[in-house]
Amino acid sequence: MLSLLEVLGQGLVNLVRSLHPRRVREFGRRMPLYGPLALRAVKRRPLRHLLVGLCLAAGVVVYLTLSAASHGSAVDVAGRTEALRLPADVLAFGLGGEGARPPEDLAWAAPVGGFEVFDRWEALTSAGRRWVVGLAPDSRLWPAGPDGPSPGPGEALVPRRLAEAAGLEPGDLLQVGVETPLGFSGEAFVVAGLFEAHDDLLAESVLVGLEDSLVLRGRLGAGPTGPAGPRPDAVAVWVRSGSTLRQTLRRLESYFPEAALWWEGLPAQVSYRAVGRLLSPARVVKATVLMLAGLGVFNVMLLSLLQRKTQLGVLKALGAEDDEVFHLLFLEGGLVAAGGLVLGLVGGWAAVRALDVSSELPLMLTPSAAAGAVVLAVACFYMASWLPATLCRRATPVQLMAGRRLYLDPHSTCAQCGRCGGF
Amino acid sequence: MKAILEATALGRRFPVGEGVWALKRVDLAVPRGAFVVITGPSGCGKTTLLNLLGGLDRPTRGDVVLKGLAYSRLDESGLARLRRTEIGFVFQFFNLLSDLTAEENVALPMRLAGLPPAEITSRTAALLEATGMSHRARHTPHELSGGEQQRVAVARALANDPAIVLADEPTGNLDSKNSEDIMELFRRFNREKGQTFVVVSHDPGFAEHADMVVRMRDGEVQALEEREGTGAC
Repeated sequence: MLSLLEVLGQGLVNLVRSLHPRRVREFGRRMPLYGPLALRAVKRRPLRHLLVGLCLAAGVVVYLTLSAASHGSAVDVAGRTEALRLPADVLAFGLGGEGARPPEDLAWAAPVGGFEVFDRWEALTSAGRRWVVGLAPDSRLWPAGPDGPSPGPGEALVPRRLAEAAGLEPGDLLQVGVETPLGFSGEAFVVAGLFEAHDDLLAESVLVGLEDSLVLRGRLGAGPTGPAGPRPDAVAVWVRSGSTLRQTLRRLESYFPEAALWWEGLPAQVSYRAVGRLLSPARVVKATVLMLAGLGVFNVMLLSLLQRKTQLGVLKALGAEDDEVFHLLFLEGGLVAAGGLVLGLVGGWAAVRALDVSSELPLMLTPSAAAGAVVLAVACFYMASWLPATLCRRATPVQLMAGRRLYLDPHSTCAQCGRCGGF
Repeated sequence: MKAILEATALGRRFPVGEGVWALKRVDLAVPRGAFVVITGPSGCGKTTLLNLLGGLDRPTRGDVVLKGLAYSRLDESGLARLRRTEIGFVFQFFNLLSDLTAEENVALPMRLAGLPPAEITSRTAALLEATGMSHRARHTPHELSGGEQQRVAVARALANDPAIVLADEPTGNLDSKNSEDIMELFRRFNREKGQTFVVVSHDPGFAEHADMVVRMRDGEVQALEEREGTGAC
């Protein structure tokens, strides 16, 4: 196993070396010789190469059709759920932990659309163990919005359901504090009002002014996140309109790797997961189809090499360098793959058009799907061509001309073991 | 006579079972312009020796020096370049590239060596003329007889004016008439151009005109016959 890994590792190194600009330039200078050679090799076996091209083309057609179908469906779902945007268009991220550095992270978060800092800590209240959320006076998280009335110093807003459960009414006193070895320590807040909570973030929280929250938490040494002190430890990030949810989530996760996303059960999350579920099987099918196409290309490339061992050996005997023969085989494969790719792109476009007319599937073919097909087809051809070309590069002229079995490492490990039987 | 090609303590072991020494120890010096014939029973190591002399395979021990250049000092690319410019090969089964015409096969070594197109064209024409194949220049190997294919192969071997031509049973797959023609072709190039040849052959016709006959047995040189006045320079 180690030997195989060594061989594959060495193969990778050789592959990178063979792509060195100097070597590629040298091969480019010999293109007038190897180009026609590769073209003739392809033309002499038209049926075989046509089948390879068709195999790759079929892969590209299926990829494009599935891409168009899945993208169209995703857009369709997104369109239907547009009215169900996030409440108050907020994605709340709690920073938490020792590594939280709000000022820097917030500066980076700004391109997302906007943010605000708030304080959040777990307290013991006369209505049970609850979150205390400290908001700035102009916070967009206040139930009445940034322009609505907010509680003054020593006042708190309580969710209606929580107030009903605890028997609280406006004007009542709500004790907020922590449990210490000497007993409860805290302050009393006047319930200034009740509000309807629309999401999990606020449903179990008592809302107070940011200053009150910071001072009280600092004095009590409370807070689930980080050391005590007058420091906000949470941030709310606003989604900029027009930015897609997936981009936004990826961006936020890169800004705040330790943060938690609070959006469980929100309509946006539901539609996002639904689209994800729709796309996942399509991705698997697309990958499988292209892998099968790659296997087809691989088999024919290998067959092509094994049937032409003598010819390639003669080429080497006459003075063709190992890298040149390697590139020649790649060129042959590339010609076939290019043909298959063009055929696949045209066929894919036609298939999508035909399905669009004849079915009610929401199809949408995008440039990115076409680009993805090109990239995957090239990768597929590259992986399929690598082994045959490497086998040929490593074999000596005598091994090739005598039609001997080829091993990845023709000298020491592979050839002497020989248990796999070689190629 | 100065040796153009020297083999010293040459040995080749193949990793089959516990290892087989196809060539045990061979010392050989080929003079410039000589016509050397290697002969011996099947399996005695003739082809292995020729492959090592031509840089087609690496020896297990010993070294080969061509025009002062030791093969052991060359990497694979260096060896390929050496084969390209200094060594011509003629094989028993002709081994022409089937995708190319006769003239393209002859031109191939020159194109590999990067010669200017005009020179390639003129030299290809001259070589096909010299081997009597001008009238079949545009034909592919499938359209040529065995004798004709071997003539093209000889022209190809001489394309880059190599220091030495190595031939492995060049008449082994030909009838007697074609064999005689090929032998005559070799002798003519040796006599008129001073081309050095090393030929592995069972054919007594080659040995009759050789400057040196190397008789091999069991991977070793059993006898080495040098003949005077046969034109080596």
